[in-house]
Amino acid sequence: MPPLVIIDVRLSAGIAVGGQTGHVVGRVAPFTLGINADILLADHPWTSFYIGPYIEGVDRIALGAYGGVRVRPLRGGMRLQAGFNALLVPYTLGGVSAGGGYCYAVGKKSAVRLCADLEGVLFFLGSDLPANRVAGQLNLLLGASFNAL
Amino acid sequence: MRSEKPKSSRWGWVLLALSVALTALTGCDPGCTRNSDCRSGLVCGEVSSCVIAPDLADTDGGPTGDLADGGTADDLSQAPDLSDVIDLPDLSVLPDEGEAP
Repeated sequence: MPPLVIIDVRLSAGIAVGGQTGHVVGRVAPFTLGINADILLADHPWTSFYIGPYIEGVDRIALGAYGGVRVRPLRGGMRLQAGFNALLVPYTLGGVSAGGGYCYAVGKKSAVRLCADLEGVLFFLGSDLPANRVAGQLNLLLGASFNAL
Repeated sequence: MRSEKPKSSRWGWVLLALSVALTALTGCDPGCTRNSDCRSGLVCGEVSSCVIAPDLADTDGGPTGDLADGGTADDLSQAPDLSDVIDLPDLSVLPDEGEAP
């Protein structure tokens, strides 16, 4: 049976894309550091709900939360996820995210795993967005995953 | 005996290649995508460059709404009389300009 609760720590970096028709801009996306609890919802297929806080920096500081649903269709290291990203302080920014990746077991008991994911985020609301615009991010997430329960 | 690489190692190489590609892409047009990409007091404008925030573009105290006009005599004429509020020093006792201390 999969673990009931997993704790994930993740660090992300990537590119941000925005602009208008005919003028697309790309730049380095802010780094983020987050921690989340991953709570088992169903055993077949292995489905879980994850949620937790994160901060973004380095050229700015903001605090937010992310969460969503994660599925491991092969019951192995591969995982797919979809959810939301929301920055709350000092500015607001909200959007949806989707992605997937792989976790490598460390040691024989597999209680600790090193994970790498690719994630796409589409931000479409909040005070941090220019008027009538959306912004996207493509992030590479690296982190570790621990069995808590 | 030949040992086969596990499939998981292929994922690692794919992710590594993608991260390199992402790093290379970040060298492109460094415009803004969000207001927080700009310095304080600026926001991300229509052509993805940082511009003065609309609420700060009218802080010259004048009625024209133009920050670059530097203020006009008409603006000053609307200022209240502060002579009763501020105790100004008597400048007549200061030494003349150029006089040795």
